[in-house]
Amino acid sequence: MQKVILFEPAKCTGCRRCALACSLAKEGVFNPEKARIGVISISEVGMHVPMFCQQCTKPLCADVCPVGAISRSEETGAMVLDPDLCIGCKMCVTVCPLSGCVISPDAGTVMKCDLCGGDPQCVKYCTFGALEFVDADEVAYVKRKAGVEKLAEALKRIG
Amino acid sequence: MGYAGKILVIDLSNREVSKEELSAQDCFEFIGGLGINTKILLDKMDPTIDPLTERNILCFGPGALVGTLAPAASRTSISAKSPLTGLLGSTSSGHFWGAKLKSCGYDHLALKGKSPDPVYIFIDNGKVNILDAKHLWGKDSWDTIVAIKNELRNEEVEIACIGVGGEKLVRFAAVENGFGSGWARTGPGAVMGSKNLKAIALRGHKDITVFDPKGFLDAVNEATERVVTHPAYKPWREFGSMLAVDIYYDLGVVTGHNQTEEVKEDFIQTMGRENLLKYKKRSIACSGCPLACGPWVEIDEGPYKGLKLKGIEITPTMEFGARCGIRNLAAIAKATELFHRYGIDGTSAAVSIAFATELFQKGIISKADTDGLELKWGDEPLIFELMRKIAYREGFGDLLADGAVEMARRIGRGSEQYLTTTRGLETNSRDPRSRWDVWSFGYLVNARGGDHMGVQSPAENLRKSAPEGEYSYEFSPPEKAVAKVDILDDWKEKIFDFKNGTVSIPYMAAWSQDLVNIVNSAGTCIRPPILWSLGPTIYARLLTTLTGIKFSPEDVRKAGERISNIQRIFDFKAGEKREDIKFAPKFYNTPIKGRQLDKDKVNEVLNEYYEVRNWDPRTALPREEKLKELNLDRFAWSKLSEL
Repeated sequence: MQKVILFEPAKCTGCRRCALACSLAKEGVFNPEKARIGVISISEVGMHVPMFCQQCTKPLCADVCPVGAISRSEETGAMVLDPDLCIGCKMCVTVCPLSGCVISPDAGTVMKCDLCGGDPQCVKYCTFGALEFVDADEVAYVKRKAGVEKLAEALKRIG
Repeated sequence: MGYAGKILVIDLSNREVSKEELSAQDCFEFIGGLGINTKILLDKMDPTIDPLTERNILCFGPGALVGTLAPAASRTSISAKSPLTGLLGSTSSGHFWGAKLKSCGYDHLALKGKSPDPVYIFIDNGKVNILDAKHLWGKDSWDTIVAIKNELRNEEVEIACIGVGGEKLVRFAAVENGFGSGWARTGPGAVMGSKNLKAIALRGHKDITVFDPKGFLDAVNEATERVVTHPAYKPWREFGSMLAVDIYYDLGVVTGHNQTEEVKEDFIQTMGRENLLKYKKRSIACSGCPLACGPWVEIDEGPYKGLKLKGIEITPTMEFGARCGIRNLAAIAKATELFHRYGIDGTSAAVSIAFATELFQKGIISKADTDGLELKWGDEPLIFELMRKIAYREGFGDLLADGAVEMARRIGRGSEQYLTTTRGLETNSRDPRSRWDVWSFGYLVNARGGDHMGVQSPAENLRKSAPEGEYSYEFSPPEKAVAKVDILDDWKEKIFDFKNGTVSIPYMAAWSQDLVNIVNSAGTCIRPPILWSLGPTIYARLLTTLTGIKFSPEDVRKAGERISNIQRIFDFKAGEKREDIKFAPKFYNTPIKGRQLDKDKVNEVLNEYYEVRNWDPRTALPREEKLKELNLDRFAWSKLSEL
């Protein structure tokens, strides 16, 4: 079963270790602007949301790429962008609703998450469990269980 | 590598921008952050000048590891001559501003001169823009941040700014760091305000390069593992700094009402750590931090209903709670919002208010002096109104805004004996009379004055106190715990006497002071799960693998010591003599629980500390031999001939 990165915004502390781990793994430097994952902070409510490519089943980025630079990895199921083929037309950036495709600040070409070939570094460096790498068919169980725990807390107060 | 190798210097008088080289030699000797800041000040300014004139230099320095995956590597120091103490002022803040300065391609930012009109600086990927800030002048700090983000049309810019406090030159004004964090102690906001500088906004996408990525990541993983497996980690994650309120209360070291009496059970019931859980919704972290000690709180009842922000922390709880008498933890959230928005240091404001209240209660000042206000303990609306008057220097607030020492000088009438300031800086409500240990001694020798943030022991025994009247040692934590702490062997031998289970206060204070300097120069954090688990050995690996500059553990330790030495040299040149190094009068002349400090014994242990440092006890200055050992004798500022 394909594995996905499950993200839990309620657990995100905004530390950006995910972005630092990503840019180091992919570019050999620390530079959040070169990470394939970005954290959006909503300061009025103290919440943070990590945003990254969701490896769509029907990827708009691959459909729209004029040079076929984006293709599915057999091994991980991730949509992988080949930087040597990329011409920087940024059509994929335009069509992706989640900003999974990001313009690289120096190169001008596009970068996107490829699940690090099956060992995503962002997940490894998240200390708070906001990112977890799980089988797609486990996601429902993980989220339901978390929901049940919250429900149990509420039931305790009325029951 | 690792470092950008550049110091950005901006002269606000003529808008001259220059980029100076940060040499590998300086990085090796002073590491970064606080260490390099201090060196810049000692090289470039005259320590005798008036801190609120254009000749003061305001220096921002993220630590060497900031912006990397090194655990908790977010801390950035601001250094300048302090308008509050007249000594070397320094303060540290985390979050993301410092990391963003590195993304702009600079290790340090030094601000000189004074702009003729209010301006703000916008550094855009390294390019410096100096923009008009007349429309921002008068805004509180959070409104300023929103306004700048709107006009730059970018929500991700990191912004350091002053509130009205800095504009009005409140001597303990803060520089705010985004929403809910700030550089406050010693008044850097007033220095910034005196330069007519409202804010510094940053945006950048430059790389922090890594010399040995695999080696660095190995060191990072080991350091992080130590932090997250430390016994202090889980409790700190849950309660943040509020964890320690109960610890100090149980130890019997919390005094209240401007340190005139012990606090009682009502304090711990209303202000203890469990009350935080009523309001804490989630945890907030700084750049790269695996601890996330910051509580996001939401007040959903009472007079402050609807308030949402990061922070209910120990120091405001101790100072507004114990010291000023507040018995409602939600009010600490309100005080926090106010001191951030106004841009003033919470501790100093609380002390000015509490000092005035004590004098009022004793009849030394009256309603005639206080704009007709009746000063009572724990009066929340009054305390918040006084904070506003301080920020705006309005009426009685104008006096409070100059700090307790100046208040005593202007009021006279014997008020000076009630001060709780040590060397010009307000000492914490963890009272040095209640328990004598490395922490209490540390107030006396901290470079920026008498608070607790410069000398923090990585091995505290928080259960047993040393015998009454014992000033040279405290009891050691168990040998097993000590074995895990990274203290170099030759120092461990001198610090710990395992046969008697004791810790030498002079040796541990020197070690701790050097360690905190290392932490503030590497840019990691002094929260116990980090301070107690990382030492020179792991810092040497992190720095070497990141930068390619070869640091041994002894090199790192020595850098910390070197920084302690130049801090003292600056303070001396600013005018602080050996006889000025003493506690606040109250601690010597007024007992608590029958205990007060013994002047002679304090001097004795202070002299022992000077011998540990190889400083002359008559002058508290490094001897020639020590300067040579630290390679400090080559600098003109080490010629200490004014004796």
